Amino acid sequence: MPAVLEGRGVTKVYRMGEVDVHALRGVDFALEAGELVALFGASGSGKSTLLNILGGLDTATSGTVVYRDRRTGATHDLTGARDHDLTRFRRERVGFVFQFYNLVPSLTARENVELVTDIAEAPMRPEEVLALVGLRERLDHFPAQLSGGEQQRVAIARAVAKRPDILLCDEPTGALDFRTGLLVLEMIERVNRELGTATILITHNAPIVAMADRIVTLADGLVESERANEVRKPVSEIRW
Amino acid sequence: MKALTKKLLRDLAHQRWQALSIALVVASGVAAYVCMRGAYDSLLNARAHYYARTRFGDVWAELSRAPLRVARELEAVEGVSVVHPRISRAALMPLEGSLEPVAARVISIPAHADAPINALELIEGRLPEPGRADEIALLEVFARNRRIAPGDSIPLVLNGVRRELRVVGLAGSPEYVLAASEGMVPGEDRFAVVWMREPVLAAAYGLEQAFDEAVIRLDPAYREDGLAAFGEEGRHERAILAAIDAILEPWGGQGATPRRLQLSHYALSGELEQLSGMAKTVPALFLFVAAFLLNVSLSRMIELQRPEIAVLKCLGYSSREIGLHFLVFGVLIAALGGALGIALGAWLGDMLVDLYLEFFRLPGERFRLTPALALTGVAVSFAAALAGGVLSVRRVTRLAPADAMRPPTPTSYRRRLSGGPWMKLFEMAGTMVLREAERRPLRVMLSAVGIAFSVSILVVGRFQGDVLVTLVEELFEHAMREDVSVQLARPAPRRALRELEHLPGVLRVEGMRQAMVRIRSDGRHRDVPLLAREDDVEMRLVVAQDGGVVRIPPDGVVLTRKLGEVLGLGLGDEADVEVLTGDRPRARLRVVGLADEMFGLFAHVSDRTMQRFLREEPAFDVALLRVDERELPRLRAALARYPGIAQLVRRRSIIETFHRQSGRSMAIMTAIMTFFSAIIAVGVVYNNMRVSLSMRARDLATMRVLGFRRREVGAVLFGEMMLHLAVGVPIGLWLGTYFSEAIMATVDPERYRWPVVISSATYAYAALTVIAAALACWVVVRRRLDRLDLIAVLKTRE
Repeated sequence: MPAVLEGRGVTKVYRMGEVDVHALRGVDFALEAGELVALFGASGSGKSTLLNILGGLDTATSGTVVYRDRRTGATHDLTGARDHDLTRFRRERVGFVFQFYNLVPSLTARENVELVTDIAEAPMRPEEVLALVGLRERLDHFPAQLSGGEQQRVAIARAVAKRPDILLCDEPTGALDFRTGLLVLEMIERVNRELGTATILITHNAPIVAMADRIVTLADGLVESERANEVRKPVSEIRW
Repeated sequence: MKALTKKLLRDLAHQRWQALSIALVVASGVAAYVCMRGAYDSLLNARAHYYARTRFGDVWAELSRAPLRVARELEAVEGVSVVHPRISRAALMPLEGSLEPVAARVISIPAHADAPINALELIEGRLPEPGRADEIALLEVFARNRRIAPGDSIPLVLNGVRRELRVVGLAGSPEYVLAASEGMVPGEDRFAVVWMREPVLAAAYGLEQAFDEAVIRLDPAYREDGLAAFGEEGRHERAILAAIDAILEPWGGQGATPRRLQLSHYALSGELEQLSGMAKTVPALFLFVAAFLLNVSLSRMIELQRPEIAVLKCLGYSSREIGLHFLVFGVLIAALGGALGIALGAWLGDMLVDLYLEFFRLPGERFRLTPALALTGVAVSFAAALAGGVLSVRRVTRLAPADAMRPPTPTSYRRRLSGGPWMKLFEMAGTMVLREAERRPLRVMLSAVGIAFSVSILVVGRFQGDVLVTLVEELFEHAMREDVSVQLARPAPRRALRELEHLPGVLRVEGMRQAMVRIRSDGRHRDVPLLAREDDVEMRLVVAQDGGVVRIPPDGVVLTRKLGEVLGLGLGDEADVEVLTGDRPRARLRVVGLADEMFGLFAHVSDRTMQRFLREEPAFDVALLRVDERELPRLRAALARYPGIAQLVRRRSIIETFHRQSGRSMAIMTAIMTFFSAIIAVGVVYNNMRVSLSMRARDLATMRVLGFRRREVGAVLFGEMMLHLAVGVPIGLWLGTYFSEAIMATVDPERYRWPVVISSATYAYAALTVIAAALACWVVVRRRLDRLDLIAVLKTRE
């Protein structure tokens, strides 16, 4: 099966204040259609940087990243893409979920989802997608009136409302307690399974990788190891 | 409604006070523009209509006496369309109950018709009936001030003969838009214009079938209706005036005057030019500050909303969409400001026009808010929003989405000034304030500039009053020290002065001789008064700008320095001087001195030189009296018996009139400028403190955790404000002085050359008002600081 998203020799050098930081040192990575990949590694290993580059939030210092359109089969090189093209890529193809939810505080749950449905091509209805994550009753609440788990579920709803090809989750349970985290992971698993959205899930929490098809481990900006799970473990059976 | 739009509106509601303070600054700018520009347009328009309706003249020519056929000769001059020969004389109106007789100008209107040029604008009653010798029309402003109504009788001394005349109508005239234009300081109750039928006046002055003044309308092609009438160096003007002067010379012509120098028109044009200048500069000042405030607050919003911007970018919003989102924020504020400004401007404009119309009688039009004016106002406010917004919004574009997800790198501080051992003198708050100032000197400067502008506006608003007060003090303390001046209709022999000495209450008498002369040099000329004093005068001195008294040498002429410059005459040069009255003697006089007088253009000679020049015995036409105030009524009664007196002026009444009028407009001007300035000061200071508060919330919270008291934490913000004031206020005082000088420079230097004098009271008022406005902001922010749960700030993530 061809990869939806593929990176070759991806490197990234940041200038932080007065020092150069080598976040990625030549990473090869592929995400296939419908697949759920866990990106595992310690803090500072380059997971988030890779995710940002794959999602078109950032550009690589060198290497190539190619996106393949599932419907047309056309490929798009993200490496040298202009800001305008990256914006379109994000708008149409990618959904993001962050560790700290990043909801717009002045908008209600429904309106946060509308932010996406306002500009997407063929989105789901906000109410429909919020029902999917179990928030049918909390449509008109502001982020400050929602619990952490609820906020993260709004974020997931917001990410999937556009029917993206790719869902990118950066430590989505990082700020949540175990029970709530489980609920959020179940949502992600469900979206992956029911909508067939290719998903990358960043975590530094080892037990969680069991829910993935494949596990890529990063260390110090390089791929340290890569292995496939014979069977994906249902989220409900995971404990940490 | 789109979700992004909802976000916009909620953000706006959340920051409503800040938004409002900025909107008010925008409103001030738009209001200042709408008010001044609108007043200018309205007055200009009113004047144009008035002039057109009344067929205002283009040229005036005074002469001694000429038969009517000379008028037809004038009509033949190329460019001349209509000539209106008339009789125009100075007269006295000895009204009961007034200490000095009123100076009046008596003007003839045709026997059976209205005047073909300078038609009267009848406001009440009617014109004198043809054939009725006792009927007059009276200048309306004067009548209102003196409570004279149609039907009343008033006394008038015509050619030395006192008559009782009946007022049948009150009228305005385009020649007297500014009433009292023949006196030195306007006094609407001290100068009257009387219109009578021509045969009546001709009989009184022995001018049957003759005239002593011609008013001329030019062909439209030769006329320029702009402010500069027909131009300083206009080719038509010179040719036409020369032709008229040549025709009238044998008839005692005194030199034709173009419209631009006609007293009322000249004064009105000067005022309008000044207004137009103000309409260009003052609003620009406000809008600059508004743009600056929008920039600061939008930049801060963008800084604080980094995470939200990042999310929007992640969700696929383009930089352009997000940038536009913030820009619309600015535009909405500007729109609010623009709407408020237009309303406020229309209201203030109405007041401003009314204020002008108290001095200038322009019937008809009031303030008009035209669609074009309102549209420009809106465009101007949007321009401010865009100017302020675009720069800060560009930051959004430059922010890479992944960058936006990370907290900003801690800004690197350095110890420069704030590193010395002397820093121990400061408490922690002082150190934080200084470090921040070193880190962001531009912010300190911008904020100081905002404060400086508000200080400068106050200085500008009050300096004209200061200048006038100093000038009047200077003038009446040093240059004009008589109690009463008596102007004669024609010169009298010097020995008559001794006669005046014996009148009741008179303590000292001095005489002056004056004649209008034309001084020529290098193809240029100016008509100025030539003045001669007795050698030992002490009541009328020639005073220079530095307060020194200029001595007049026995031979030669002393010119106002500006007059020398205009004519290209220096010390030792010979001036060609021609007297414009009587036998028109002409002589070459050596320039022996240049006097730095503060206003007007004059030539001074010694008593002896004057007598030689005029070929006459010692004479005077102005008597200066020092009198015992208590004897004034008796003195007045005694003087009333002298028929040759044309005008009698009490120094004190000039001063009083002046203080009454200037005090009022000064108070209005100060109130308006204080209002505007306070808005700017509050806008700048309040926004700055709110920005500081939100940018440093974390630092301040940390201080609280470390055990600092609220007061000590507040000291950081207070210290910052004081620093900005300490930098801004002195700059503002300097800037105000600079602007004042720039405004002063627009005044016609041939008219006034006043040095810019700004009183310490004005400086203090400007500084203290702005500091007070800042302290008021501090009280508001301080309360907010107390309410804010600073500890909670620490719990939120970066």
